[in-house]
Order: sequence, then C-alpha cells, then structure tokens
Amino acid sequence: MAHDLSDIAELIRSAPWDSLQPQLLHHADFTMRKGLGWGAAAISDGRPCIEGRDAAWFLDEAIKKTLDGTRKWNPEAVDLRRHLSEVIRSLIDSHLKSVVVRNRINLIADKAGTVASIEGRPDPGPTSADSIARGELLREQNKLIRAFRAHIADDAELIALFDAYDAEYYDPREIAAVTSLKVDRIYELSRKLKTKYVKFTMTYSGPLEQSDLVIARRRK
Amino acid sequence: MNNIIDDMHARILTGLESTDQSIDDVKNSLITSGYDPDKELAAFKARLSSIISRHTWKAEARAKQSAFNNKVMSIISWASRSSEDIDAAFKTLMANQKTPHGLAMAFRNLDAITLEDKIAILNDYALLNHDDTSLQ
Repeated sequence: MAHDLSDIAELIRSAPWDSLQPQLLHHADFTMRKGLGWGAAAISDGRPCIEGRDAAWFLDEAIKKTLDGTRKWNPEAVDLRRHLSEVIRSLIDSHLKSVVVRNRINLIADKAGTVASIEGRPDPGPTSADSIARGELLREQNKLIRAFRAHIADDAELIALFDAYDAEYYDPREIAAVTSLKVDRIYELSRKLKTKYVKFTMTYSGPLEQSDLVIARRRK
Repeated sequence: MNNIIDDMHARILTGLESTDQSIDDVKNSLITSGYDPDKELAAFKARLSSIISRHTWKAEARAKQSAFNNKVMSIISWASRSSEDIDAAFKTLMANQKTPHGLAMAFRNLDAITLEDKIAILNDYALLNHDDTSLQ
C-alpha cells in the first residue's frame, strides 16, 4: 500500500517516541563521535557537534526530510527507527564529508597562497572530490578507532569483544562462540566498552600532528 | 583510489549499538555521554509538535496552490474570444445581480474601459466564480 505524505506525518506523530527518541538520539550521538579527534566534530557541553549541529538537530532534520518526502520512507518495508537511523547516519556522514572537503580547500589555498582561484570554481559534483572526501573521512575515523583499541589494549576481555565486532560478530551468542566470553559477560563488557569509547572520544586529540588537515586548520 | 578503504569504525559502532537491550541501557548510555534523557525527550516532543504543525500548514498551502493552479488552467481566457463576445459578456457582468456592487459602481462609465481591461476583469471574475459557468 502506497503511503502519501499525510499518512507519513500521522505515522510519525503517533510513533512511540518515549522509547524511539532516546534510541535515535543515542545513535546520532555515537555516529557523530566518528568526527571527533580530527576536528570534523567538536565537543560542546560534553556532547559532540558538527559545526554547531548536535545530535538532536540531526534527529529533527531526519524527521523533516521524511515529512517533506526528501527522504522516502516505506513503512511496509522498514520500521521508523531503522529508517530514521539510516537518514541520521547519512546526514552526519554528509556533514563530516563537507568539513573534509572544506579543510582540503583551505589546505590547497594555504599552499597556493590564495583562495580566490579555488573558491571561484564550480562544485565538481559527486565525482573525484566526493570519493577523495570519503576516503579522507574513513582514514581519519579509522585512526581514531585504532587509537581507541590501543587505549584498551590492557584489558583482554574488551579487546576480545572489540575484535569480535571488528570481525562483524554482533550477536552475543555468536561472539560467545568465537571468543572465550560468556553471553552475560558480553552484555556487561559491551556497556563497559561503550562507556570507555564515549570517554575516550571526549578527550582524544588524535595522533594527527603530521596530518595535512590539522596543519591546514592551524594555519587558518 | 580510496573507494575500498576499510570502514573499521563503522563495524565497531554497529557492535557498540547492537547490544542495547533495554531503553534503560540506552538512557544510561546517554547519561554517560552528557545528556539528560528526560529533558531531551520533553524538548524533542515540543519540537516535534512544531515540526508537524509546520509541515501540515505547508502541505495545506501546497494543496491550495495546486487547486488554484488547476482552476486557472481550466478557465478559458477571454482573450481568445471575439470583441463582440467580450463586450456582451462584460455588459452582462455589470448588469448581473450577483456581480459585487462595488465592482459595478467602479465602472459606471463603461465606454471608457478598454477591451484589454474588460478581458482582465472577465478573467478575474471567472476565476473568482469558477463554479458559476454562466459567464464562460
């Protein structure tokens, strides 16, 4: 059954927000933390934000884009939580990518000693610039997550869980099968790992002293 | 060249989010991250109400605009009629009991109105009285 936008608005209005909102806010918060440590996201009042936009902003924006049909939602195929999670992730990645592109432009401008020739150029579109930005984004995110792994290296249980996630084992029973961890313990460790990750991202400054991005920002 | 860079961070985040079993787990995680979940929820509900009401208003405005555009499209312009038809229709309009009093009074000197003005008035009147097919 096809849903028009007024159906979608009613489904959104009547959604179980008491449970949905905390989950989506949490998802946005976690996703934004990918940009910490290398300047794409910053901490404000203990929470991550990207150029002044916080997790709540990304949730609101995902809802607005669903309501106006910019982001299509088929309620029969995907539940609201999964749909909004995906839109939030995509919006955050897009904002992080735009920071990368801007930093790149600043860097090139810095090296050339002028910004005029770059700012005057039309947007090259989602071609090479887009894939370079995506690569840059992933490289910086992976530096952060590797630094986090080094940070927890002394805790064998946490490392085992981290490596299980890295190998794409997400179900606690599957993780128990490939590690020496018990299922109940996995839940405890997951909470511990999450807390450590959040605290780590709040203080991480990144091993990026040689990074072009950092150099570019410092020159600004 | 960078399209196949491994997204290790995404896998770890998926893992960290996968074992949230209850809403309390999620709320505790939010507290760890510096949020007040109850305050955030209340603020969100207020914003959601405003977002939906704004969306509803915009959707209604779009529907009205669309209906108006359809109405305009369905009305045959008086510019395509003969000057005799236009003069006759204008005369009928001025004499019609249903014509707003102010409109009739504004054009007491009917001889001074150009054909173009008559066409514009007839088109506007047809648009305002779309259901009244007597003038079309």
